[in-house]
Amino acid sequence: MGTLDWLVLWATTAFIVIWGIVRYRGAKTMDGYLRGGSSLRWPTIGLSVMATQASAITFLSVPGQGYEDGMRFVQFYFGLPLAMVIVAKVFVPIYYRMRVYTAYEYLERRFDLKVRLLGASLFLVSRGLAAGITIYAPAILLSSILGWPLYWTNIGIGFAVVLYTVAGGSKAVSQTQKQQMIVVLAGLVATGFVACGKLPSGVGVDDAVSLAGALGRVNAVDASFALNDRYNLWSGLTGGLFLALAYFGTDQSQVGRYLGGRSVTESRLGLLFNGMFKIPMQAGILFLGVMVFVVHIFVAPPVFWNGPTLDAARASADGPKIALIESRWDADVTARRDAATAFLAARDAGDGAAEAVARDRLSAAQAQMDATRADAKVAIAAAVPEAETKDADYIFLSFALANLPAGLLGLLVAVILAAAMSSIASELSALGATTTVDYYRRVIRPRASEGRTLRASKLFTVGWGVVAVAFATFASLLDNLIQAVNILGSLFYGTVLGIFLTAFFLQRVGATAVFWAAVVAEALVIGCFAFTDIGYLWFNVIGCGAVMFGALALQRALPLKGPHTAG
Amino acid sequence: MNIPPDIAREDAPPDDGPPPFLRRWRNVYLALLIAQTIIIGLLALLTATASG
Repeated sequence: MGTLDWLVLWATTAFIVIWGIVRYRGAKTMDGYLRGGSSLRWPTIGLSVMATQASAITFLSVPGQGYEDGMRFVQFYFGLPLAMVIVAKVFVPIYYRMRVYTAYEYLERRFDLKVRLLGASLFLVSRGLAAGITIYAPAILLSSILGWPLYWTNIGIGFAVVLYTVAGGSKAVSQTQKQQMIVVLAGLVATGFVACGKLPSGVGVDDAVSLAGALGRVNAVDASFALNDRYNLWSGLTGGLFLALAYFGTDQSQVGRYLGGRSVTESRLGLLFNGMFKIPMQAGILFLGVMVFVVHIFVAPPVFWNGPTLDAARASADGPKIALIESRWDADVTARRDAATAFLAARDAGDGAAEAVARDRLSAAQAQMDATRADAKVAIAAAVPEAETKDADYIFLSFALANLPAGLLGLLVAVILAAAMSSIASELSALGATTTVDYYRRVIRPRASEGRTLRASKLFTVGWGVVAVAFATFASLLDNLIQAVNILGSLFYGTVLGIFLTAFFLQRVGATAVFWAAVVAEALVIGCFAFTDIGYLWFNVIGCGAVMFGALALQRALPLKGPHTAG
Repeated sequence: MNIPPDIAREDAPPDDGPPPFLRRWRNVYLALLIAQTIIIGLLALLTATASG
């Protein structure tokens, strides 16, 4: 990174952090700190909700996913718009009517304390772990590619977020997220233009789409059905709906965002704003990854995207073996480029038969490259045993480093930091709020004064920040990072959603029935994860269904007390 | 909706309705779902076209 890049990076990041601290410091009441004094308008809520979900992982991992796997990941979001409608129509008015700080407060009013604490505990465990990944994901990549020390990158990101989250509370989180989201969108659009500009002369965006389509990268909608297929139309519409319902309806890091709204209307419009733009935004980011893929048909890509690990393998005793694979790779790259050129020429000439032949040749060349890359990963794992061989998360950042002009690269790193901080801020704010409201003020110190509770809340936020940084420091690179976060969420979300939907729609079910049904459902979901190969989006459906049917069956079968007398 | 009356407080911020030109929340929800169906349809069309 050059001087201009550093200047852009520091100016952007420092402005957002300092503005968050100075502008919103000094919330004196619990309501001001935890709910931002209920003053937010819908554009702020909408951008804040989007920024909370779209972490740095989204902007690093998703283009890599587009490059490797095409656009099919977008189907993950197909259930989200309907979920936004259901949350806006059903969940929001209930939370507002009850004036709750956290979603779990509602569970005690509807059921009893043990169900509230179960819901809060499932949230704290899943979100506490996810917060670690949210910090770790950008830190590991920035440290690896830019040479920043991982330990200090983790601490630096965590410290900056804790500073303005504790200083300004929920309102500072939402307002800084609005600016962070604007930086993020501007950075992505600029990078998109650069990627399209890197296509060789004579290859337009439509040619790029055809090439990507011929190589199976434009696979945004797959209507075939398979339970073990992670992303298709049906898992997206069903599992994605349940996951989004659970995340936006019951996860405090999201509930906390829209509970800060000035009215039910503002909260609803903020959520619907998210429902409107989420699919186009994700499709755009995946498409960016696909464009990077097409650019690398004409510009030779490395056989392995994590440069420092590849260098370590080259320098090891297995160096000659790696060199051999790399020379094979160079030949594969040339073969694919020639096949692509022939494909485009046949397409331009309108020669259908030649196009079909060229398409087959292109697919064969790609298959050869995939095989060579797989061999390279095996060789690298043998040469550098401690190395992580999943490199998809490094693709986008490597592309940016090699291709973005001065200033824009700094902006992109600022985007990554902004996205990381915006998600972590929501998570820490929600973890602190849930610990305060559902444990400290309810169980530990019910008689504590407002001032003392406020101080405790800030301390809990700092504490969760320390836990997240510690987890990030000791974590190792997991699968593809965005999938790791979503798999972790899916292990818990179905059960929590089942508890809430039982509360809303099954009036006859009482506390004890739903509590035990939830415990069994959670065990069932973890069992499915450990012992089956069911796609993880289905865990949300399984967990939710198991809670609702289990609670109904228990309520009917056993002589349990009714909903309002249970306890 | 199962909300015990003792916890449905009256001091909650008001629902002052959707933007006037959409009149009712139902219209807003429908507009969103129709727009998203069109977007998914366009993505399906892109998939079919690009795959040849």
